[in-house]
Amino acid sequence: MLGLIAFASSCSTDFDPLASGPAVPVVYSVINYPDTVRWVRVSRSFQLRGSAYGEPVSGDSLEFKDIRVSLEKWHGDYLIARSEMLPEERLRDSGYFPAGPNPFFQLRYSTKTLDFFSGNSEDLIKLIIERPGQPIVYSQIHPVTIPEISTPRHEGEKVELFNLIEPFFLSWTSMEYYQEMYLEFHYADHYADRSIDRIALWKEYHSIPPPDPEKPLTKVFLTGVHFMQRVASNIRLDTAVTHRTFKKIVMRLYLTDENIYTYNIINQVIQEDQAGAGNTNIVNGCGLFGATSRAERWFILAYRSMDSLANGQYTKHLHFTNWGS
Amino acid sequence: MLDACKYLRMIILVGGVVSCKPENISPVARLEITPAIGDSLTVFYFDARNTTDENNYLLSLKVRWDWDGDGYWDTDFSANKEEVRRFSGAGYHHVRMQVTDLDGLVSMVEDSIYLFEQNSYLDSMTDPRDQQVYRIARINGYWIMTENLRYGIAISDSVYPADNQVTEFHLFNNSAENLSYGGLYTWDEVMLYNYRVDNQGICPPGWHVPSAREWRNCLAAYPNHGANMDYYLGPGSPSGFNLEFYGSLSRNLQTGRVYYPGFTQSVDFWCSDPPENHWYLDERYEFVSAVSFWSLGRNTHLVEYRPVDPPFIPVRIISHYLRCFKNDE
Repeated sequence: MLGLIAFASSCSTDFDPLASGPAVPVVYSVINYPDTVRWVRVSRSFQLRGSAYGEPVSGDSLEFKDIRVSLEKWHGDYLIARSEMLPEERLRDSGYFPAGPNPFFQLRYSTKTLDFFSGNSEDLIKLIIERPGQPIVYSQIHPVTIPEISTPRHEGEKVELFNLIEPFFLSWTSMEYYQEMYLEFHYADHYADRSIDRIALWKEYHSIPPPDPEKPLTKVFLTGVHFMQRVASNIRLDTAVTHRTFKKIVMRLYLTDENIYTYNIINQVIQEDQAGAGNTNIVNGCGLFGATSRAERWFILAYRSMDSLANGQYTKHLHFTNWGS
Repeated sequence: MLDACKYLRMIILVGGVVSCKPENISPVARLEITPAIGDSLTVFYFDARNTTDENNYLLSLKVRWDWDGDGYWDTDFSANKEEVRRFSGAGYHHVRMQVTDLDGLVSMVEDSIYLFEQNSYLDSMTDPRDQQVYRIARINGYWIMTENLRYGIAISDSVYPADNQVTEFHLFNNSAENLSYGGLYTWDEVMLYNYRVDNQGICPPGWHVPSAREWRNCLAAYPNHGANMDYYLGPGSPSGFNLEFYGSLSRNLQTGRVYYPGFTQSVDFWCSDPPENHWYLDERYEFVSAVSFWSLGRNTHLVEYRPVDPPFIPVRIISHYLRCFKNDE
C-alpha cells in the first residue's frame, strides 16, 4: 500500500500541452524549369499560447539562424554540380505576421550555376539544409523538363475548328506525372467610349496520373461546337458592350511532378484547422520540394471558326465581329 | 475444417483445441541508398519506404539502423523510414536496417556505400634532364604526373615544331606567363617522331607517353561520364589527379589563324597509340589520339574520340598537353 502511494505521488502533473516542442524546419521550394532563379524558403514551426493575432512573434521563432542551404545535381551515383544558395530576405505577403522575417535562399542563373537550369528528367536535384548540431534536412526530386508542343505547329498558326474530316487537336509530348492545359481566349470589349482588353480562361484538360509510358504524346481534340460553348460560358453578358473583337487563343501547359500533385491532392481534403496528416517529402522536416514546368503557344481562328464565333448559335449573343475590326 | 483453413495456419494446442489463425509472414525489408559512392561531404539518403508487409500497413512498421555494420543497433525502432547522414573514413561502409511489424516479426537488409579514398600516394619527382620538379600521384597501379610536362623550349605559335633534335612546345596564349600550365606539344614532338605504343617519347627517363588504355585503367575508379570532373579529379579532389582545364591549341582552317579553345572548360592530353575509336586529326591530317576532359554540363567526361570525316572539320588540333605515366613497381 505504501508502495502504491509512493508510486502515485511520484507522478508528475507538469504536462503542458502548450509547451514548446522541438522546432521543425518548414521547407518550401518548387523548381520551375524555365525560371532563372531557384528559390527555397526555410522557416520553422512554432507554438503560441494565445491567438496568432494577439501575440507578438519574434524573428527567432520564425526562422533558423546559421543554416546552410545547398543544391546538388546528381546523375546516377555521380555528382554533377554543387552550389550553396544565398540567403535573401523578401517582403511577406499580407496575412499572419506580415512584419516577421521571410527567410528565402536563392540561386541565380550564371555560368557557374547553369547545371541547375539544364539537364534531363533522369538527373536528381538534392536539397540539403544543414543546422549546427541538428540532423540534415533533405529532399530530392527529378527535374521536370519543358514539354514539346507539336500542335499548333508554330506561334500564330491559323486553325480551323470546324474541319470535320481532320478534327483539330492540341498535342504535346511529355511524360511528367501530372499535366494541365488551360486555354486563354483573348478579346476586347468595345464600349461607346472606350475599349478594354479581356481574357477568358478555362481549364481544357488535365491528365490522370500516372502517365502511360507507351503514350508520351497527348492529344486533346478541340472541336468547334465544344469550343464555342466554352467561350459562351466564360464570357459574361454585358449590355453596355457594343461589340467584341477576337485577338488570339493561348494554350498554356503546366506540368508538375508527383510530389506537388500529391501535396495538392492531400491538402485539398485537409480541413482549414490543419487537422489530419499532411504530406511532405522533406526528411527531418516538413513542407514540399517539387518541380514544375510550363510551355505555351498561341494561335488564331480560321475563316469558318471566326464566322461561327460571330454568327454561330452559341456565341452570336456576344456580338463578336467577324474580322477583329 | 482443413478446407476452411486453406489459407490459415492450423495450430493444435496441447488440450486438443484446434484453432485457425491468419498466417503472419515477416515483413520484407527493402533499402535504397542514394548515391552508392561518395566522399565525406556526400549526404547519403537511405530510403526504406519500399519495405512491405502482408499484414500491416507501412505506417505501422518500424525500422532501426546499424550505421557501421558492427552488429549493434545504433538507433531505436522508429516509424521514420527515411534517413540522411554523412560518413567519414575511406572504403566500404556496411549499413544494416531491420524492420519489425506489430507482431514483432522482423527482417533485415544489408547494403553498403563506398567512400572515395583520399589519395595518400602523393610525391614529387625531378626530371634529371632539366632538374624541373613535378608533383606525381599513384592512381590505380600507375604513377602519373599531376602537372603537365614543360620540358624543352617554348616557341611562338606562328612556328610549327620541327624534327630537329630539340623538343619544342607552344605556350597557352603564346605567353611566357603561362609556363606553369605546361607545354602544348604536337603529337610528333611528344612521340619524338617515333610512332609506337609505350614510347618514352619526351617523357623523363623511366616514364612514358600513356596509351588510351592506360588512361582508362588509371581512372577506372572515377566517373567518366555525366559527372563533375573538377569535383572528382580537380585540385584538392580525393584522386590527387589535379585536373586543370587549360584548353589546347588549334587552327581554324577557314581563317588560317591559331587559337586556344577550351580554357576553364576542357583539357586534352596526348596518347601514344591510335587505338580503336580514339582517332583524331592533327595538323597534318594523320590519325592520332588524345583523351579529353570536359568540365561543364552534360559533357563532363573523358572523351573517346571517334573517326571523323575531314571535310566536316574546319578545325585542326595543333598542340595538347602531356602527362607522363610510369608503371608502379
